Amino acid sequence: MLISLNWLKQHVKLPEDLLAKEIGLKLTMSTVEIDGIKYLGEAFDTIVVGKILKISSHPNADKLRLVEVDLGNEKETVVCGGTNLTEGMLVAFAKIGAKVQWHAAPPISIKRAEQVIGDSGSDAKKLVGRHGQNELVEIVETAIRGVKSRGMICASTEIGLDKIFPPKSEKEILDLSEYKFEVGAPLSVALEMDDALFEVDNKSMTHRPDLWGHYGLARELAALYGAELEEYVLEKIKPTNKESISVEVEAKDLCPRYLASRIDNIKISESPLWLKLKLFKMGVRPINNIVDITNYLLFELGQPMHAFDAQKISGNKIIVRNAYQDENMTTLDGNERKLTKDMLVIADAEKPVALAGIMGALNSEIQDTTASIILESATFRADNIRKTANSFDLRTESAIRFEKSLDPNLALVALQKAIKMIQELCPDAVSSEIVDVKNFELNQGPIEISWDFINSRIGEEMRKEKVVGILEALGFSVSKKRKGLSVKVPTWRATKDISIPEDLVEEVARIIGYDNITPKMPVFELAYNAPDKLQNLIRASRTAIVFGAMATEIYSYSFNAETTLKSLDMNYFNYWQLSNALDSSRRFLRQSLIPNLVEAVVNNLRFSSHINIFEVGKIFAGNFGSDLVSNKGDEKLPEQNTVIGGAIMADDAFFRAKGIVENLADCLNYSVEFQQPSNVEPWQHPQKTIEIFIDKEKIGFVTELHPSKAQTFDIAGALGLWQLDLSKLAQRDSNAIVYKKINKYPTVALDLSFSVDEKVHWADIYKLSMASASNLIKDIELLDVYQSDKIGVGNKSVTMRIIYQADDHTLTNEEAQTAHAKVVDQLAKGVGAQIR
Amino acid sequence: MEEKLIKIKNAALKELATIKDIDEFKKIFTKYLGRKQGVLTDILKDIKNLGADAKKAIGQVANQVKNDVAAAFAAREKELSGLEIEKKLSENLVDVTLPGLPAGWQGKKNQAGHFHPSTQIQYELEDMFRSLGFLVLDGPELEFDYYNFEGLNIPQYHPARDSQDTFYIKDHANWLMRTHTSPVQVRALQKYGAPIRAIVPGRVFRNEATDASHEHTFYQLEGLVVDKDISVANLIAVMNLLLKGILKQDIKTRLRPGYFPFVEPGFELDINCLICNGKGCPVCKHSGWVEILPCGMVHPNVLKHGGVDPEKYSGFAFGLGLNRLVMMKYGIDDIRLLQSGDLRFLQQF
Repeated sequence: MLISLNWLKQHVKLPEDLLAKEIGLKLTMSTVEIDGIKYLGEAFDTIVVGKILKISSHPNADKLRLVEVDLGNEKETVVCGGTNLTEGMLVAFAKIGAKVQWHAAPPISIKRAEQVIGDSGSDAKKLVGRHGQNELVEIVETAIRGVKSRGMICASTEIGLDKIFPPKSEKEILDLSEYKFEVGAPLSVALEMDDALFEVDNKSMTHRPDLWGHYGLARELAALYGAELEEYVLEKIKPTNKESISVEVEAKDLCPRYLASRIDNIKISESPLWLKLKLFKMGVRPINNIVDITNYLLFELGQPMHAFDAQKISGNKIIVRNAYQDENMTTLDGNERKLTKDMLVIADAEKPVALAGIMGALNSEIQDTTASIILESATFRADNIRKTANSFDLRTESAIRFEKSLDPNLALVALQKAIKMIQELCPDAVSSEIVDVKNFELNQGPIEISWDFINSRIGEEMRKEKVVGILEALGFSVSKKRKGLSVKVPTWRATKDISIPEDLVEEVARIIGYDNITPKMPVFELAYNAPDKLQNLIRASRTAIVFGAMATEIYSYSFNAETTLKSLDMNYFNYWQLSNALDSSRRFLRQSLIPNLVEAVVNNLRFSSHINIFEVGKIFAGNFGSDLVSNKGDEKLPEQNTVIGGAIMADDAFFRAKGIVENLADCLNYSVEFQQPSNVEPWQHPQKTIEIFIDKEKIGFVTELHPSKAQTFDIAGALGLWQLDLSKLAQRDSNAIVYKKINKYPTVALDLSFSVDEKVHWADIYKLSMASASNLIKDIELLDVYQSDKIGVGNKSVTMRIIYQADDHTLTNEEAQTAHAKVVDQLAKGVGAQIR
Repeated sequence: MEEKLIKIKNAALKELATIKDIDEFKKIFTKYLGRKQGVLTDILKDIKNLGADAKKAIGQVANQVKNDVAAAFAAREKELSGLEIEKKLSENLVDVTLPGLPAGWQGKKNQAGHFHPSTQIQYELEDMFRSLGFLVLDGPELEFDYYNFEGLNIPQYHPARDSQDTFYIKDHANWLMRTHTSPVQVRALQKYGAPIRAIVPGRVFRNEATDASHEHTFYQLEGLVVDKDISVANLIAVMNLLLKGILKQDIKTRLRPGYFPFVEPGFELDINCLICNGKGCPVCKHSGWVEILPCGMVHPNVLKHGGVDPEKYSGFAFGLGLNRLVMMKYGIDDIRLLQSGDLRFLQQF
């Protein structure tokens, strides 16, 4: 929202020497965030009011004139192509150095361009900004068709004033004769442009319905500077119109207050200059006196109003009601709207005439011939306005104010002021009695607040007079009680903004300035916090993988792309989906880290073949989490376990991935078991896939991407993939560490080479060996596995080293050999091993 | 000529059907479509040398034959390479019970692993808060509307929902991807009660288009302190300490009003712009200040939703944007890099 400093100053007497910048900073520090300040005058300082003294023809051009202009204490002669030049006319004269707008639209642009930049190709031209439509061009001295020209007589479009002075033809220059401006005065002064516009961040005042107009901010400044605020008092309007209007509010809860007046003998016309200028600063195009008055009060008070053409209101009756389901209306922007029954409309006896609080209907719009109007000033319920405005994406100035919960009392003030202004601009106008339908009650308190509360919440002792002074300046009525204050909330803060003592603490503290509060460290009692096991596991896992597996951590999205899931043949029918994702191709909530890891591998393969990555993140299971219960306890959320998973490109990708998981489990001190699944997923390698179990619960897997899927993704080589559910791991205890005395007796290492059927698993060989002489075997190390024609088709050769050691004596060679023979025997019996 | 073309096509298709593996495929591919002496290639070359009329007459048929044959070859190649993969899979027996291999060595190059830069910042902050006696908590990323909004004093159709474009879940109107870590405030109060000191680092989501400065997925660190007589002065002191811990230097700050429905009063804490030292530059939009830490006194309604008596307890909460901190620390100019998984980026940290 834009706020004009001059406009503020009409309401509050600020110290003379205050700079706009200081005021902006003060507002930022205590009230609302000021995003920037625009100084309007700058552009108009070098454009002055000139009076045309003499017009003569150009020696070398039929359509150009030489014009002598009086600029107060100097005179200039310029070349001009304007069609409406007359001697004695007051014009806007751009001096050397002024910046005007470049217009690309022919034919005027060409003439104007010549005037501005001289003959094409001349180095006299000086473009400010990029050349193009509406770019600024600086006026320099130049010659047009051989005649010197110092300055330019401007059209309203060239100095951005076409909203106030719409040109009737393209070659028309701006005629200021009707205004009694002083010749030579800068336009910045003549047009009251010596003003600063504050750009207020709307988001910073969504909670302040009172700040959406100039008067509200003037009230803030009065409190901030201890300055005097002009009271906004209005005499009661005397009804002069016998005609009135009847108002019926059916939807009482959606319309706390509805005020209306019928005004006859209206003459629609242009607004006076001062009013146009006010709207111009707000960036609004003046339309006609009635609409301009309602817009003016919107920016002055923050109260939206609407004027209906009374002739078009059937039955001279306003009904505030819910729309009928599928009722149609065409709003002022020309769009036909299909309404639903929860929306609020203003209707007459027959039809809706406005989408309440948002936009009027085309069927009752004011025309140039309108002579009677119904003027509406009302308050609508915020959430309903917001819901309707959002459903049509119709965020009008009116809607954004009503959705903040406006003070119903403001509606009366604005209506009275509007009627008064209309009567000033249309002296014949007669207004009816104000019809007022009230359905509201404001909670103005009083709020009881103790000095203890104020001081303890702020954290320092407040001076009592200061507190009272601040509250009173903001419009609160304060009465002193034994231990504190009883504070009555002004109506403009009572709709939702202020209702509890904490709100009053904020008022006091922000006006004092938060930076003026002395920081003070809180004092806490020591307390033991049991560590969160999952958090610790996550951190330990990350560390183990980064340092142990030398993998790099990636972050990927929590959402999967459908194309990737399809390419992997993953079953995603039970995946949760986003209902409104901007990028709907990636709408599936991940149930595994694998799809995004595969994508990351593919992306990185363009630059590197060394890929060893991992991610830690939450996945969103198809089942429900036991502890994620709704507040009422009647619903559960999907289980959201934290898992760790990775991808590695390598020749022995599967075994490298397996090594990573084994090492991770070791680091975390958990004993996990690997089992070959009976069924593998279509994306998994049919053989190189194992599942990870702890206490019979599946907690992860190690696999290699199926070669045909690798082909689909253009991955040349083997991709190992692994994943481990850390939430499930955290539900169990890690291995207890049992200290054993260090065995001082020497070990005997004996190697064993044998051939077995290739289908025999290493795990079985290991178990058999261990079982055969477990009390003496300390460790078995696999040295080699290989296949060759010599061993025979269908067989493999295994070489392993067994470390023997006794707990209580030095092992003799015989003892070791006996144990070793047992192993050989067991392997021969158990898996048909043949010693080589 | 046309007859000849059809004949070649039929012969090729017939042969294609009889071959059994990819090696045979390669042979007949050369035979028919080989660039130098392919039967079909040669005849197509001949057509090019025909006169214009003749070329016109035969051109369409020739093209059709060429396309048909090429398509048949492509389809068969895919089929055969699929068979090839299946064959290899069935030939090679894998003993998955063999021990795993060390992962870090990739050929000759020994590459160190890397933590994600956001993880590094997160752990640095966690350590700092742990040293101050804070719990580190976690909460669900897929949340109930209640915890994300209503419990935080943001009822439906509240304007504050504007700034938080929300991902909703299909068929579950009251589920959403949390838009901030603040839902854990209510969850933590419900679970642990008061007094409490906790931080919640975590992933949050906003439904917006991504560009160099916008991401739909990013990270926050929420802080919550609830105890007896916690004051605005306490909040300021702790925030200053926190910033000193993060930025490792004394830095000029300013505290101004900021509106968040779940705090009262609410603040924006700005720091003096580190790029221009407060003189004004494009990074701070020429204001000299950078918004870094929204914070405030916990709203009594939030305490109530958390089952804590606001008459007895008060507290403050704050939210740090972790992405922003990482970007400021390293001068990263594109937020999307953080979620990109791009090793050229990640291996720098």
